[in-house]
Amino acid sequence: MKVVLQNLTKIFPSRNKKSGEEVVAVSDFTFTIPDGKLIGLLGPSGCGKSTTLYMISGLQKPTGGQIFFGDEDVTELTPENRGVGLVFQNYALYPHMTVKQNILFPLQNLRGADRMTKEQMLEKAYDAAKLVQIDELMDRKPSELSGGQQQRVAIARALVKMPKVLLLDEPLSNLDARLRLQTREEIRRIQKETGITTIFVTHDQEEAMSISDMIVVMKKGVVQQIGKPQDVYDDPANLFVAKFLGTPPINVFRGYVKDQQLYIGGTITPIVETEEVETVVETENGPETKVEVTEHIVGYTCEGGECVMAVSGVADQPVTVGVRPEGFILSEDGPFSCKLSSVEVMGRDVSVVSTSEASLNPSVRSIIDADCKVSAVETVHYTLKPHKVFLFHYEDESRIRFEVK
Amino acid sequence: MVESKHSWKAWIYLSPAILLLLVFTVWPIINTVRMSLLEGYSSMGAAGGISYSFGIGNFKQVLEYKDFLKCLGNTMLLCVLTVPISTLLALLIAVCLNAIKPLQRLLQTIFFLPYVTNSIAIGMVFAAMFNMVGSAFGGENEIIITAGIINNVIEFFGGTRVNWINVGSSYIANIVVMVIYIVWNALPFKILILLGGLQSINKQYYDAAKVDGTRRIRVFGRITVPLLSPMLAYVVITGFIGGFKEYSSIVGIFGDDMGPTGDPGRLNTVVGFIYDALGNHQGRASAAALILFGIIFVVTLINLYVSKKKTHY
Repeated sequence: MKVVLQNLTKIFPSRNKKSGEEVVAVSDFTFTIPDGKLIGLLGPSGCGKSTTLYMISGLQKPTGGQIFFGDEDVTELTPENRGVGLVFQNYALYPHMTVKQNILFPLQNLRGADRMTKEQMLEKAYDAAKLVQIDELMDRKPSELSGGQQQRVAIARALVKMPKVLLLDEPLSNLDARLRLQTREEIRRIQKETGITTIFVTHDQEEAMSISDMIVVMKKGVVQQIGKPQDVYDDPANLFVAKFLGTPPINVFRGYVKDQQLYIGGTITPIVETEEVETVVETENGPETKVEVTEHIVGYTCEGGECVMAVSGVADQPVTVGVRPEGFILSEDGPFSCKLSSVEVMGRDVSVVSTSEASLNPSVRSIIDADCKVSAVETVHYTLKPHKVFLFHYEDESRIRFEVK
Repeated sequence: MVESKHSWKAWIYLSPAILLLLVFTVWPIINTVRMSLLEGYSSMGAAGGISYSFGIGNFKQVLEYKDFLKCLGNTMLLCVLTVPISTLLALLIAVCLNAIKPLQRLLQTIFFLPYVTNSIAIGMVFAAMFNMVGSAFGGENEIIITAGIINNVIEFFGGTRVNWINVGSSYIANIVVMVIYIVWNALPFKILILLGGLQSINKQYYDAAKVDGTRRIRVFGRITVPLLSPMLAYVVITGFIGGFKEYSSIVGIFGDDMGPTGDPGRLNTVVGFIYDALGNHQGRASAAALILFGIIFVVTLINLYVSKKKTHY
């Protein structure tokens, strides 16, 4: 079942009645989720990803916009009439029921023509349990299960009615690191086996990238970028997306472009033009002239820094430069230099931690093949891989594209 | 571990509490047991120099006493009627209170008011509500001045008035009044406990139930009640304990005659029996108190046993 979100908006009224400030949790979200795909909603906490999920489930009513399952408008439907399965962050398993009773519960709620016989219900429950591999634990209480097992029970309970859409709210956040890896593959497998359109919410970019067919990156209720994980990683729409994806995170520098050459570091001085506006104000002593001075930044003078690479097609301007950790190549005559602070050996590769005055992060981290030996030098020199370097506008942080030769 | 050279300090800090407990709790308990085991003990007699021999005569006497069995019957009847009714009503009110948003605080306060009101005073108000005032009450040619507010309501809806608590009233009518009064009096505490329990239930269970399309009645029966069961067990157990100690409510309505005029003692309870015996037969009173303790103990054990099987913690 494909899911269409059209201009979906959720505004929460302010708690503080005096200030009356509303909270826009989700703003104008439009996206078509293709049938049978696994979609990750990704963003820092408070970005509206869970709210989006709850609106799709029907537990929360959107302030504006519409939701379609297939061609059917479900915006006004209650959760039970939408045919969704929802897995809560802390599972919300009924503690007084056994695993079997928990999984049976949604089936026992069916009425009228959908009502099944007891045998059919049991069969369905066992099918769902087998799918998530908990059919051995059917007579246990949730408190007697580990976190991972509880998670599986919650998924089985959501799946037992064969929902059109499966929704998972932070499905892995309550699990330890090892289990997380295992469970995310499990979720991927279950989704593939059932072919149910699945939407899950996470703040962990690695988790989202590793199993999603597509990811949606959100910030403060606004969708930043939608795409295949690798595409979003390789071609971020703005600095936020670039910073949010990838471990170790992207390195960010001050810099500028001059004559189609990219410089990192240097000084950027805004050119300020002052404007005097005279206004006549009526006072008690008769009309008086007031002079207001406003300042405008009309441009920047940029100088110094290191010329690291050519960027064709970019106008002269100050920029924010993002370089992925794997975008550095150690070379003695490389144009970009940093002060070496430490080398972390990780087996497969080496992580070089250095500092640079131009860096906006406290340190610059590059990942280098373990074959390259970093000797005890004070300064390391790099050349940069052009397709791992992203330029962003100095002010609005949107992406500036350049031709990679 | 407190070092031994400092332990005397600890004892000093504890001494006020220990002293009070010894004087007002421990000694009375010991003394009750002692008095109950002295044949026909009376403190007046003891002060006069009579010595009593040990024995279980007091217990025998109490159990053979018709009055005591009647008191026990009344107590049990009131318990069995009021505890389930008040618990169910409290559950209903608590669930309704929890479901509404506006005026919740105000209603909560209103429902809690009986708890902070003196039970004798409430009893007198209830008595007035059920009381008939007339000339030569019970006589052939009596003139009723007022039949009480409850009878007015009954008559307004076309019923015939009932003699609730006055001369010639039936035992059933008396019990009905007592049940109404005791239930009303017991509600606020139970509502408070159950409402607290309801508010501590994780809302996600209800969200999950909503996604599954659970009907309200099923949500109540399969989710709310089981998750509330520890509170329910607590309320029932304390309800039974309180019910077995029923006394002041009857004084409140019928006065210390413990029954309608013309039939004193008809509604007497075990605690009432103890009070009656306290004047001159402390031995008998002590024995009755210990028997009451035994009954409450057994009932509570049964309660705990049942609730252990049925409650979910």
